[in-house]
Amino acid sequence: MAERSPAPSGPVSRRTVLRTSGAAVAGLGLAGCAGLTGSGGGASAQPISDDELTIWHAMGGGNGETLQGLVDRFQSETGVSANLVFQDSYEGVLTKTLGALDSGEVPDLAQIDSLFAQQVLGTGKVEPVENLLSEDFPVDDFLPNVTSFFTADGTLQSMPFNNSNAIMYYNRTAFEEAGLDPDSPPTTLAEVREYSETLVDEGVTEAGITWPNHVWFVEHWYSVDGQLLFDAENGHDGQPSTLLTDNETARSLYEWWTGMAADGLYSNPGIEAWGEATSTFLTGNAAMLLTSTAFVTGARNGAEENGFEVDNAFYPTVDGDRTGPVIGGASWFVPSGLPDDRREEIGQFLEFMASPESQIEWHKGTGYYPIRRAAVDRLESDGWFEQNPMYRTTIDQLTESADSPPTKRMLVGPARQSQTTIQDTSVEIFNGSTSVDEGLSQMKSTVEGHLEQYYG
Amino acid sequence: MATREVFTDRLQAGALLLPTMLVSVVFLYYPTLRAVVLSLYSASFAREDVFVGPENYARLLASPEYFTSAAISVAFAAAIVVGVMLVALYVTFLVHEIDYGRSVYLISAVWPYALPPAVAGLVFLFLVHPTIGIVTTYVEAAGLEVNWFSDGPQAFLVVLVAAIWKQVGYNVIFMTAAMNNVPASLTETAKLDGVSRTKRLFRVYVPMMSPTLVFLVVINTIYGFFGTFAFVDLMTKGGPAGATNVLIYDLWRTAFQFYDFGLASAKSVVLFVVVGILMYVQFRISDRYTFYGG
Repeated sequence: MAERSPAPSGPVSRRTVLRTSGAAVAGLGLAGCAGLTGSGGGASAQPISDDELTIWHAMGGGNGETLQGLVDRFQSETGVSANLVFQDSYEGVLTKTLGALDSGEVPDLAQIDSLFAQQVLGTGKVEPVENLLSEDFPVDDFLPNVTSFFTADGTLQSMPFNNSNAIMYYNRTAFEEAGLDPDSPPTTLAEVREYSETLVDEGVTEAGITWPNHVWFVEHWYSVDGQLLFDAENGHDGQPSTLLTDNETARSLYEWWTGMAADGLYSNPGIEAWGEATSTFLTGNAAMLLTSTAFVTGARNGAEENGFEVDNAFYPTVDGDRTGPVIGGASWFVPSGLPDDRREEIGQFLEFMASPESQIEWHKGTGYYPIRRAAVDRLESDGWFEQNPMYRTTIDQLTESADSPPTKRMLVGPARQSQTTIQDTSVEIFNGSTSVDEGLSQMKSTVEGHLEQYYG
Repeated sequence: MATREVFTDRLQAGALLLPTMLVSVVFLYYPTLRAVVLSLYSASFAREDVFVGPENYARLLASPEYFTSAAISVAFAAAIVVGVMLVALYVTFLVHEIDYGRSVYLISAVWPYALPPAVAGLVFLFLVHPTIGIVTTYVEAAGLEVNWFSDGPQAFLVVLVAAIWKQVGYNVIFMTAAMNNVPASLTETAKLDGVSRTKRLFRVYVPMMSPTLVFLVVINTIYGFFGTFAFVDLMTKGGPAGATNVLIYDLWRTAFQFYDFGLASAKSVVLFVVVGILMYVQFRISDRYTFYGG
């Protein structure tokens, strides 16, 4: 094979070809960037499809199937056709939605992660969902500390749908093997460390605990400790200008984290590595896992497959005080300027998704908590939580939470920048390439730069 | 070789060139121009573009992270060019020298090239994953601690090895072709003169293959700067702590994660200029050492 030289021709032509092709390929990086920004504003929005609702979402795997099941039921009950389009991730939905809002050809609904809510609200091209709900829709039946995040200027801006908080899953079997009491899991960072030491010393697991390096977990520790992450009440009361790192919460957290990493008690699955973190837990490399309540079904099945008993508990506190988990999750946003008959169909969809029946189906299929009191009550009276105590933890953690500013998730324009800064700097701190104090002040000043650039 | 006039009819030539020209203009030249223009604006979603002149470039000059990223990219690309070409040359030579099963060896050497970069990245990620990787188990058994999710230099090395592994196959194809083109009489003469294998490779084959090698240096440089995006995105996301934040990843993140299109365009213009200069230098240097025959 391949017995000839690739381009048998004279010197001049070969080199010319080389030069032009080289320049062309080099230009590719350049070309990729242009043509992104639309003209912006002006014309009224045009739905992508005239025949059906176009819904962009980020629910993969089993959760995606549960969502499809709900949408199928919506279609058969209302006769409105709806096309679910999976956009791979929250970032994917966000990018495409912002592009669509700019171009004017829009999906009817987009599932936006609360982390990016401000970026979408900031476009001024979305309609408050409250306008789309019928008069008799019981808005006051929503769990108040959920809707408070999604409400601005007294109006519900987007429809909360899949809402979760972070909890701690733990391997009961490993706890028993290490001589730990599986009925009293650790509740503070100090206890997590003690338990991890025992687990590793006894040779039961390679590491004590794991969680994806995602800003959500840092947000949780702040919120649980009653500490704001950004000024201006995490951005809910005006424009934030700084990241709050000069406090005991941040120092305790990062000193603990650094120590856990240095002593091999924390298994680092990587940045935003949700899947790696869960497999580290399920394969028995770590006995504790911090992740979303939406993993509860996956945890149960995965533990069964891997032959261990799993349980869950409240998110560990920094020092024993517990204010509450951060409220967030994703919600449905609707572009403004759609025709009236279309808005009516969207209203039907939102009401369907927020109905107690749908919320119960969604909760049972995924582990996201229901956002309606009626749904929680019905699950309660059906005895669902008694039979499925793991689903109970998330609701308890939510309802026992105080509705105070720190539990409202950060609402900042440059959310993605702040997120990556916090995540990247976290690695620098816990791998010891910078000290806790230096790392935190660097984190603060970088985020301040992003905020200034965005709002300035 | 005399110049050949294949097409005497200008119209016919033009018509045949048209598709290529159209594609180039629409997908390369126009966007390139737009990127240059956009680099002078503050541009994002849902905002009017505002002309800011050279502000984006000033931001880059004032950013130590950007200089780190540039230094990492250059080091990364240099290591890729050297690494890929040495490994590929060695593999090619082995395949060239062996008497039995050449095709089998050749196919196995070329195999990783056939994988799409995203698949290769995922495969490699799970092979060398710090906790669940198959390769990791053996490396750790040898007494090394694999911790590249937290350790910068290790992460750089892992991404580098992955990128080299992926590109070797491509080089082997071209090198095999070039090596097979070396006249058998030369090999025979060298053998009769008692030239050692290593010397035969570096003193006889390499000079004869020099045009192909120059071509590969250029292609590998481009690959080092632009083609390694998938590995970085899938394996490290530019981390830990920016250790693998090469320019192409950095600019993608600025554009598609941070939606700062003006700054991202400025970054792409800088990258274009850097790679352009490097290629110019490569051509100047290779002029002196390349043997094009005749």
